[in-house]
Amino acid sequence: MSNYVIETNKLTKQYRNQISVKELSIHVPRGKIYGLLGRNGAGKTTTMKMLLNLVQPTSGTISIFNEDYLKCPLKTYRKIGALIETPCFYENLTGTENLKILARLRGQHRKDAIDYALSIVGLDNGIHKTFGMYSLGMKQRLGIAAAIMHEPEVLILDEPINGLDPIGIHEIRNYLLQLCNENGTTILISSHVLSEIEQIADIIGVMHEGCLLEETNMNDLHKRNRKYVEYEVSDVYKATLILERKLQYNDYTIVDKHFIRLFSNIDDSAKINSCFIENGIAVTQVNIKEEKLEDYFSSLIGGGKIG
Amino acid sequence: MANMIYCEFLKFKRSKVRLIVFLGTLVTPLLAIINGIKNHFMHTENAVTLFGIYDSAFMFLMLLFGPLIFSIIASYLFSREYTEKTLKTLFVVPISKKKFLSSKFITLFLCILFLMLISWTEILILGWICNIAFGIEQFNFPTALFFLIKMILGAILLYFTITPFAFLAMYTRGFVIPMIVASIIVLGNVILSSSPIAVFFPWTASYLIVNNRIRQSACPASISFLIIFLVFLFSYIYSILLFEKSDID
Repeated sequence: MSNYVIETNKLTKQYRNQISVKELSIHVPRGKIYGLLGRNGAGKTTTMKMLLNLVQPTSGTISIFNEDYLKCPLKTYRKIGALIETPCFYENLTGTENLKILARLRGQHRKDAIDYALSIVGLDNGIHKTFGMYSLGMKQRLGIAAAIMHEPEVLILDEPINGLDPIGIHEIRNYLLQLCNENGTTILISSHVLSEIEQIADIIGVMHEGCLLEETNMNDLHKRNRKYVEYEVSDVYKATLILERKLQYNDYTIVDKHFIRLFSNIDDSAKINSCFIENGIAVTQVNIKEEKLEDYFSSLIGGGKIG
Repeated sequence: MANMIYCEFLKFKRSKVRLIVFLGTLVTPLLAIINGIKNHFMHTENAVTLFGIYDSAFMFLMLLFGPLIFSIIASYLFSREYTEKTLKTLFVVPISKKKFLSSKFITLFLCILFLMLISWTEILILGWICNIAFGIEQFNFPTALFFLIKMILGAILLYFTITPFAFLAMYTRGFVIPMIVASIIVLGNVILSSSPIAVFFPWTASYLIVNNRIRQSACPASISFLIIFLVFLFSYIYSILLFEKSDID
């Protein structure tokens, strides 16, 4: 029996001529937080919808709790909580009434499940407001409350911190970490905010144009991340000529037209700095840095910003 | 299933459609009474009777206002999950698609039955007020009871013929097309109600069956029944098939 709570094999979704997800194979281990990264349109939401049986895959297999996801869907999905995109509820009902509908439909709830979930997400003070009157942050909190109210074994959260204020983000992050560490809840999360994923994920999967580019453990990623020296210079092209021709250093990249990142000979930074100045290049900053998830992400998908 | 139906009714809470539909059902008894009084003043030999008021109200409900008001409820029930994008919230619970849709069809039936009973009560109350104000003839309970049975039967047949609007609301994922079609159907009712082919037009046939006027035509009532039932069956089955086949986006 595999230790993966969620496992897909060559999962594909095609809408007419457009392939949204292509031969995706992800492996989400039990009791871990899996961060799914990708730009808009990378196929993250479609993947999550397929995992939740909202969208039928064109081909490929999905295994949840070591069983085919269609074997006993009602039983399987009762153990999963989910939030997909912006939460949508009935606008004429209060948060409590909306959760009451879900609780009734799901059955098997502890009596205080709704109050408990609302208090966890900090919505216990706004119970008399209808959903239509909620701010974006409140809507998001209610969506998270709906996902956690039945204390699921697996949480699938698509952009859960969208619209939350910094305190809300901090609270939800801590709550997710607590769920994972104390209750052993497995969490599959996607987010635009790479720094958030970096802080909580144990494993990340990077998607681009429907394909999984890499699936890696965060510890391995930290080990693999290279240190570099970043120079902010007045003339980046002249500086690179000096690096290549005078110093024979080729392991560098240019960032934002004024920065050079040198990945080798880090200890020679004083010598390189002097060389730049001697050749009339002004050096404004010299910093020793380490590659972050954002750099890793950019290098994988070929530059550009997430979003 | 009971929980699903309970949830469907809970979704109506604070909804404006409740008021619209209630006012819509109030219009029919008022129109029937105004019609009775107008007839009385135009032809003084025609007395205002409870039977006459119920009969006019029943005709208005079955042929004009019923299809319009009940198609509003059908469209609201079946399209709001798309317009408010709540399906993705409900189906991660998870629930059976077939049961979910069936619960909506049952809720629609209960709403139609309830509104017909509301109309019946409104007519009785307004008739009682008119009886006190200027006196109406044959104001008795057996007449009211006779029309109670008629309105329950009318609600059942009308329900069968309203289901295509539910299917349309689901298929088009909105309010507009079903309401346009409902208006066309009402116009069809006005044009066809006294024609020989009215027995084949499900929306007029249901009125004729309950009013026992189908005997006046050459067509047996069973044919009209079959047409009405097939309309329901196709709407229900196609709705289920469409819903089960489609992704929840």
